[in-house]
Amino acid sequence: MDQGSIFQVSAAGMRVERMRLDVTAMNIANMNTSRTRSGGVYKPLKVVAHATGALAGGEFGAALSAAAGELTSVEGLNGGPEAHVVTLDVAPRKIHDPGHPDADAQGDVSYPGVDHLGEMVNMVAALRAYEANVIAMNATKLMVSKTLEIGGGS
Amino acid sequence: MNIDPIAGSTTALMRMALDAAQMRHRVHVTNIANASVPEYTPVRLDFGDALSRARAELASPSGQPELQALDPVAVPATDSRGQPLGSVELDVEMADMVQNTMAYQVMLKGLAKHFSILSMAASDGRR
Repeated sequence: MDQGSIFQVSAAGMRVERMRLDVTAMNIANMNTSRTRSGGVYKPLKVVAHATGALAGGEFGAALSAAAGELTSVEGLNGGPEAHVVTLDVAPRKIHDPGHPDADAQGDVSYPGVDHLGEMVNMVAALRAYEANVIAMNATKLMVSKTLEIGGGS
Repeated sequence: MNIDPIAGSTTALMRMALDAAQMRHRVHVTNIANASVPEYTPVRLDFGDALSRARAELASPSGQPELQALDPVAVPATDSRGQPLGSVELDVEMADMVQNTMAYQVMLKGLAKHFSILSMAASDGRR
């Protein structure tokens, strides 16, 4: 079996979880900003993850595993996850503050409608999922290094 | 699968079992990596009748099992009542993975022992 692709799956999982952490940090950091550099209110971001059908490795990897024979391939198994970032269109949080330079005609200042509670839950979940991926990768590493000891020391 | 006259059926059997453990490990890793994907359903390996077939062949009086290559299929994981799981249970997945890793190491130890017996035979009983 191609051990490298197992590492790739764990790496893809870690990449997605790190992206979720990044996006959560970004949302929390911008929670109290009243406008972005390009104007307008900051829009909260969200990571959308989905499982990929095939294993990573590209055409060469596919050709290689085909050449190696399908002795240890598993039918119907997904690869690692993939993710992209979407902008959430949530209503801004309005605070009445007429003296603020970004206040509108009614004296309201718009702040991004970041869901603070949801972001915190998201952060902890992403952190734990990241740890799980690290442990899974270490288990793979252990198995590979133990495999290398076959026939040694006897 | 041909049986090596020197290594015997132990090596072939071990190879099969190690392959199976490694494929199981890949399934656990994939489930853990996709744990946060909402629509992902965890999978398990279905080895079909490969194991019972191997056992029956080993029990046959000829004693020379014709071991087949494993050809597992990934099927949706089910809970204790046979219902398919909707999302990955991270704790169960981790526990299964650790157990599988341990089993893999035990098998490697067994293989090493087998090889050391062969080595002792080859060196005329001297260590």
